[in-house]
Amino acid sequence: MDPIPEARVLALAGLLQAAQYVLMSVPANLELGTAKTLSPRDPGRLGRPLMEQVSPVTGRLARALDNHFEGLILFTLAVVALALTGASNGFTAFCAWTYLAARVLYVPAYALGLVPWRSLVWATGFAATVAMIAVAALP
Amino acid sequence: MTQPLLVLILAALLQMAQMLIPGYYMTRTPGGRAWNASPRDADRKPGIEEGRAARAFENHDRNLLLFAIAAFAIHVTGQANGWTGFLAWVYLLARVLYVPAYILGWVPWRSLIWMVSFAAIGLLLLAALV
Repeated sequence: MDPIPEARVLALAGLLQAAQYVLMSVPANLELGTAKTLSPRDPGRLGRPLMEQVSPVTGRLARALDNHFEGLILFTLAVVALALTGASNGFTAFCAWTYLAARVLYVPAYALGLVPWRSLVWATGFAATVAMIAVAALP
Repeated sequence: MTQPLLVLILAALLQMAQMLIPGYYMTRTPGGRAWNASPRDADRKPGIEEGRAARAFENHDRNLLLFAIAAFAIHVTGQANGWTGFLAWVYLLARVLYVPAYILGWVPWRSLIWMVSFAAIGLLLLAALV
């Protein structure tokens, strides 16, 4: 299978998500303590859900991580579909890089509470993904 | 088929198996079977093992997506080799061990096992970029 440029962007998006995991986990572990985070997290012993016990910024980073998991499923679908249909072109490669740029910007936009920019950045990444899927879906 | 793709299929089968585990515990608790078949409108407090199995499943949901990206990227970039094949198997082994580690409450091993699987994904993604 020939590499398409979008595949490289997909790998970078995976690394971004790994980085977001670390960015959320380190402060979360420091704030909650490993007695809670390493435990089997049974609700009866935690008192409140862990995500309600972290600081506001850590909570934002956790929601940014959750949100990217949802975006990443659609983006993965888009790249796989483009690779298998052979529909990849300059436009879809541009969309892929747009997605990645939007998802990078999304993290500080969430952490800093930039309103309405976080939502606009999200919409950009979403639109880029949908455009890629549409190109792959066209006959 | 490259090793990462083969492991990806096996990891998906593991996740299908994991999907059944919370239901196994659920049907063994009073009223669990009826709630399972119902439209689940009412809240239900899961049992200890059931909750742990459900959290292990949810955790794998997310990490399986990252692993699928890594396996696919390795495949299309032609980076399937001994090293990336080894990493893929390390991922699968860690995810298999993660299930009993969570349900039986192995502290801190569950977290360490998770880190091994996470590191394997990261190294696979980096290998795809070369």
